[in-house]
Amino acid sequence: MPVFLLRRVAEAFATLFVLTFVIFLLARLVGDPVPLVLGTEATQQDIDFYRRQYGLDQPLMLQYLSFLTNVVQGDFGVSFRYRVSAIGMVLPALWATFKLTGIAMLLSLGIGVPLGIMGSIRPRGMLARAVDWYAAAGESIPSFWFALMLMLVFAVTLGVLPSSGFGSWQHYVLPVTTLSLFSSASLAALTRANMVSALQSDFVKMERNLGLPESSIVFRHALRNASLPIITFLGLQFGVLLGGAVVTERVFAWPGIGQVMVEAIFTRDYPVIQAGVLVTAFCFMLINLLVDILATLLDPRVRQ
Amino acid sequence: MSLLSVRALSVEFGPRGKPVAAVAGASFHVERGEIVGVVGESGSGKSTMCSALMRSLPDSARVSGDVVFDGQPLMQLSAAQMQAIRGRDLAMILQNPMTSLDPLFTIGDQAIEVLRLRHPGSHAGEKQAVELLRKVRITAPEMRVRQYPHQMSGGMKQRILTAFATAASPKLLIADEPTTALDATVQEEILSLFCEIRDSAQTAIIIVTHDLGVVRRISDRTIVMYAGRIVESGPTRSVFGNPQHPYTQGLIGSMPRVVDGRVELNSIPGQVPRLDQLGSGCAFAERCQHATDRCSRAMPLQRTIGVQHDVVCWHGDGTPGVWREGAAA
Amino acid sequence: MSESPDARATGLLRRLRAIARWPLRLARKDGPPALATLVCAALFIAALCGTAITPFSETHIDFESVMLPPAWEAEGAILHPLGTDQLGRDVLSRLVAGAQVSLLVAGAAVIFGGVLGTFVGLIAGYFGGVTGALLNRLTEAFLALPFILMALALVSALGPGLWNIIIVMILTNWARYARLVRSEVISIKERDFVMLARIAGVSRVTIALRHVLPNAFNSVAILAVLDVGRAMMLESALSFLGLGVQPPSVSWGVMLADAKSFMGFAWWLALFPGLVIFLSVLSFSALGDWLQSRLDPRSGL
Repeated sequence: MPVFLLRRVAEAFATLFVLTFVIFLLARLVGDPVPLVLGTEATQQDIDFYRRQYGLDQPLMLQYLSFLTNVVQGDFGVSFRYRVSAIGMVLPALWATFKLTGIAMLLSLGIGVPLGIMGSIRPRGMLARAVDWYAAAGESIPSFWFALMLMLVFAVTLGVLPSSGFGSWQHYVLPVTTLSLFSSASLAALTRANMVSALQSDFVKMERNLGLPESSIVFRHALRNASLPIITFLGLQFGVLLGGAVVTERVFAWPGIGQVMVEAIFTRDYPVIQAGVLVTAFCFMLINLLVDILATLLDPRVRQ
Repeated sequence: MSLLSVRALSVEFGPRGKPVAAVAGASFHVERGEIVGVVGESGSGKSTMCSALMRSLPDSARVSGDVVFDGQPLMQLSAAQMQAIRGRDLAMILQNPMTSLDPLFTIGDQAIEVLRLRHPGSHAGEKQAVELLRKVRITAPEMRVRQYPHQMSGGMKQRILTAFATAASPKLLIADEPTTALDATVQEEILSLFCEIRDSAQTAIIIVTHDLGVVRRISDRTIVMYAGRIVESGPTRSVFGNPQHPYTQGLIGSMPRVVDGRVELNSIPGQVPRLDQLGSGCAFAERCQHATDRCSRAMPLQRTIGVQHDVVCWHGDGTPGVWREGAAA
Repeated sequence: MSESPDARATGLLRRLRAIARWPLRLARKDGPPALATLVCAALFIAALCGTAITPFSETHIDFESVMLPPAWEAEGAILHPLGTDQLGRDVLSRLVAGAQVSLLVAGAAVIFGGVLGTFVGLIAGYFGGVTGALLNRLTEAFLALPFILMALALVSALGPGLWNIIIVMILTNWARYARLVRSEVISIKERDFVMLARIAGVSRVTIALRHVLPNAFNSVAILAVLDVGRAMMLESALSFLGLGVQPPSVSWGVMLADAKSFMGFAWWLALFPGLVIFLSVLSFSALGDWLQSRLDPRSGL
């Protein structure tokens, strides 16, 4: 594997490592969770006992080390509020969110990329303009507002789709549509920009001079060259989708990681917050790494 | 009948009220199997003229004039007809060999694509691709077909591009600055390659360059362009031996020479005028040491002063030596 | 291909923004987009004056005028042009109060985050060395994670509230400036006038502050303007989740969160706050793009 990929992996791990430390610090330094958990009637004895049991009376670095070893083994402790394994709460929620974002990503690709290609064939045409406006709007519309508007129209006024919950395919429609709007707008604009750039490159001019058919030039040569940066962008886009998912889940009461984390923040349920942030960060970095590897494999200039 | 006959070709850009002519009234011809060198500085219009012949200029360009190629009126052909000719009968290779190949496909893949286009139904494969590379004297072609463009040198890429362009033995090949991006030694190889192509397939070649040495080396005839106009044209020997236009004289005079052990470098005083600031007279007038009032007022008419040797100048009259550098008016 | 994915994506996003053609333009071809300027001006006025210019304060409860639709509807009232909410509070006044919060948070995030990030980038880019490398690592680490994760993590520690949100926004935002300034500085310091200043014996700090930094200003300004819109969007998202501004303070995000419960019969409560966010973000983006086309010769416009 090329050297710089190894570097990327190392960087990813370094970032995660730093993140674990930061998360750990944040939780510990901000306040003593014990009285919160035990309630106002707890006696000093109860508090001390609890502290001892959870290792909260140890020096900070030791706590961190034990925290780290646990994390690596997948043990994030127990939710303060629900008394179940924190990771056990986080993983199913994350999976639910992935289902949403995964479908949204596929939909965005299916809509955004073709739009971008169409907008690049005639760079000054009506379609290109429309794609530009769509991209501009897509980036400026707050996703939660759009979600509310969709809910207003389809669930409340027309009543054709459920406004919340989880279960049948109908429950997917509104949240996925919300998420795909922005994603597809960004993808359309990115595809358009890269395609226009590819179509202006020297090798395309040469191919035209050689008499290659336009369809071959656009779909075989230009598209392949344009898709490399798009693939890398997808990794980052996942992070954006995640953000969108958090608010969208709130609107549609979708039982995803967003809901779990926001609730955990309100109840100061630190194990769950830690588990949520770290596991999500890990998945995000993993996906980005995979995407980068993919982009590298596809570009012959980089693989040796 | 000439293979290519161009009459009063003009290419204009910009608003219709104030057009800028990148090429103005160019007239010339190219015979079968002839190598014609088009010489001029940057901005002289030579590349634009070639793009106009290929009809690959952007839509904002307004092209006028008569072009007859192989008996067909080139400018009146439909897009489909043009597509059929491009690459097959009329080919062009561009300035930048380094970036003229798709970086994501192997040489072999791209060669096969071109070959299948030229010979539809032939199912050209790797073998044919190797043969194509061998034709342009690429060493170890079996290995090269599996490689990607970034693994090749500029000279090799230029050969490959030439191979692609000549895969179907076109009648006319236009090469835009084919040697500019290459080392001197490699330049010589490419020029030999061009001669071979001409010899083996009777392909006519138009070489566009600012390098007089290249032109003198292989072209049968030379065309000199300045500010969008052809100022002198004729057999290479005649143009170099007896240049009539002061600009041509200046160009030839500015080729580095070694005199008495010293390297002499002369240059033409002044600068190329901006195309949107040209007057009604000769564009070279303000830099010409022989210019008169008439030169700035009226555009000179084309005059034939030798065997097929034309010059566009009020003063050129074929007399050798009269207008050499430094001579009295 | 050895750039970090973020660098590549940023470059590409810059390009895609540069290509977007904004339909809102002044008659004067080079002028800033008309509608965008208007909206931003309106926002600034609203932020400055707050509810002083509206007939009602944002917390004025009036049970006589509960759930009034906008003025043009049948049961609407002229006094409440955009309607009232479930406590009879005037929507328009609350929107104006929300503008104060939005611009405050966005402004603080951009200014403080920008200043912090610029200095980090300047040090990392100009002085380099081990410090520079470390700072760069730190910057990349901050940029590697999605905003939402960092924001949630920070809010979990700090708790919700206006000032905490400002801190969160600054902490999640500075890295973008750091990266931009660092790359600008690296290319600027190779330029001739910097070399000449070095030779003339000017101290490195002076060169950094007086010669290098001003040249990076253009790019920073463009990023900042675009960033205001983005920050407004993020603040409203956090407030919508309940993690931002807390009642009785008003933020557009909070208004949207409240509106959710009344979707069935009070559509105006959900429409207007979101519309305002949309217009604000769009306008700042338009201004940022215009600025880019004027200031950045590399944008290709």
